[in-house]
Amino acid sequence: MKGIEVKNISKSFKDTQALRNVTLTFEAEKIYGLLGRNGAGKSTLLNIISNRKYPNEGYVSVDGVPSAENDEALRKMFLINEMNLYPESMKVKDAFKVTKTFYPSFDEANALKLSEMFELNIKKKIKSLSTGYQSIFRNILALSVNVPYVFFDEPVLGLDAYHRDLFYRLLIEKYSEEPFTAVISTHLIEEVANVIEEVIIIKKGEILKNQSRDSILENSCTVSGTISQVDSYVASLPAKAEVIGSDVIGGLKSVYICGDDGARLPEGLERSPIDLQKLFIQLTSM
Amino acid sequence: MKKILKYQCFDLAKALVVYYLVILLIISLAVIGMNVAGGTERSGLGFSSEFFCLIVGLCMFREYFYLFMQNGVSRKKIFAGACMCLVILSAVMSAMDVLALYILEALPAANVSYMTISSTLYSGYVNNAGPVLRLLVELVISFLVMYVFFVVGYLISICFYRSPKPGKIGIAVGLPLLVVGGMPVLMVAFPEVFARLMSFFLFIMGYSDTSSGNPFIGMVTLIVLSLVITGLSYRAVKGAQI
Repeated sequence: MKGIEVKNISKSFKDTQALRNVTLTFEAEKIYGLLGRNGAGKSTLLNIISNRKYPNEGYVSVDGVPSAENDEALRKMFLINEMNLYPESMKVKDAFKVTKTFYPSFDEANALKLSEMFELNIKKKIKSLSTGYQSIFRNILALSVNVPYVFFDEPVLGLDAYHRDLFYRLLIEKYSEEPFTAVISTHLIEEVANVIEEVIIIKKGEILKNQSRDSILENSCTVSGTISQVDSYVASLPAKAEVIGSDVIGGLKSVYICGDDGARLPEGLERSPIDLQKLFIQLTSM
Repeated sequence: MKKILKYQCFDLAKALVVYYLVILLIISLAVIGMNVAGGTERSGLGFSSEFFCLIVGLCMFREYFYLFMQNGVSRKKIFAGACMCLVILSAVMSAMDVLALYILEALPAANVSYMTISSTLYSGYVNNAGPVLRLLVELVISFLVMYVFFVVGYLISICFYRSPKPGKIGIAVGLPLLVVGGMPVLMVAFPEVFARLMSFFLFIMGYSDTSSGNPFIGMVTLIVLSLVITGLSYRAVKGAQI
């Protein structure tokens, strides 16, 4: 089976339960958005998948093979996060060479080309780079490593709007040339919404949603109207529909609904699409 | 595996070259100084190699662990690579130290001697042994002692990395205090305990029945010690997380 399978993963740190029985699959050649509030367990999940942390329970398999302490499986993955694991005194160009040593598929020429595009000085030591350029350095590694599964944990941390846009464009370009599985964990949902195909929303260590972006957005909506009309509509919703939040301004009420196609919407109520960020806020604020 | 080993060996070779250049400089200055001033000097400079091994061992876990984990290497490979690198470094350093010992002995103008652990600990034995046996004992004892120092440093650094903050403080403060302060205190306050510890140390190093000591018993002890500390290090590395 192609893809990464995460099965019944639980992880706790002292008295904090970071992940609770998480089961999900990252299919091959898809772009995932791993969304969650601070401390939701996104980074812990990615660290466990990439063998940096051990789970208390459960296992991860890559292409059907358990990945823990398995060099062959680990070579198919690359995780970048806000933590720089390269020696601080190492220069950027040397880091490219070292990565090439361990990942023979690493495209050094592409890394140099991207460095020029991002105006990253490859002669500089990694520790002397600003927060934004450290993110750029890691993103360049991830975009040049050419492995089937790449995890981007907060890839745009400290990046200005121009560099964020450039990163997303390069990611899509790379994906369209040679598809791979990209998992992007970020707080900037609006920006990433048009890049991702699949959405995984995690809250307090549990998976709330795991479906395609299009289906999640098609089946979610905002219904607005007078309070009484909206309340009676909500009461008539089928069991599969779920009200995930509401706002009241004056005599008007808006409810955010998942799993409702709006086919039985009475007159006087307005149905409007909900964007991913709004959906995320409503889902994770409860 | 080859890649990990190659990277570490090349990286540590720089430190090794600097270390031996410094040693060469000190020896040269000592030889010139003693020739000008007259007299002879028995130098314990060779012992500094063991401290160099300890320091390198202390420094080499975290940086390589991070780098290799970032680049998809498993802990068992990281550990195996580190051990092989330490074995190679121990072999190179023991050869260098023994070479320094022999060169300084052979040079007529060199009135400075270069002492190593083996030449000091088993001086009675090596002085009476044939040249081949002497060389063998010098090399093997030096190699094993250096490996033990390396791996002790490595184990301490893993324990330090894995410990919570109070444990880190305990290791950082406690260990130097124990070595620098603990031993003299033990020697003065509890001379009997210290004497027993010393006689136990001498016993396991082969000083039970001969005045010159038996280096082969010392070798067995050092091999056992190396295996035990390496085993403990493996367990510690296996549990390390980022």
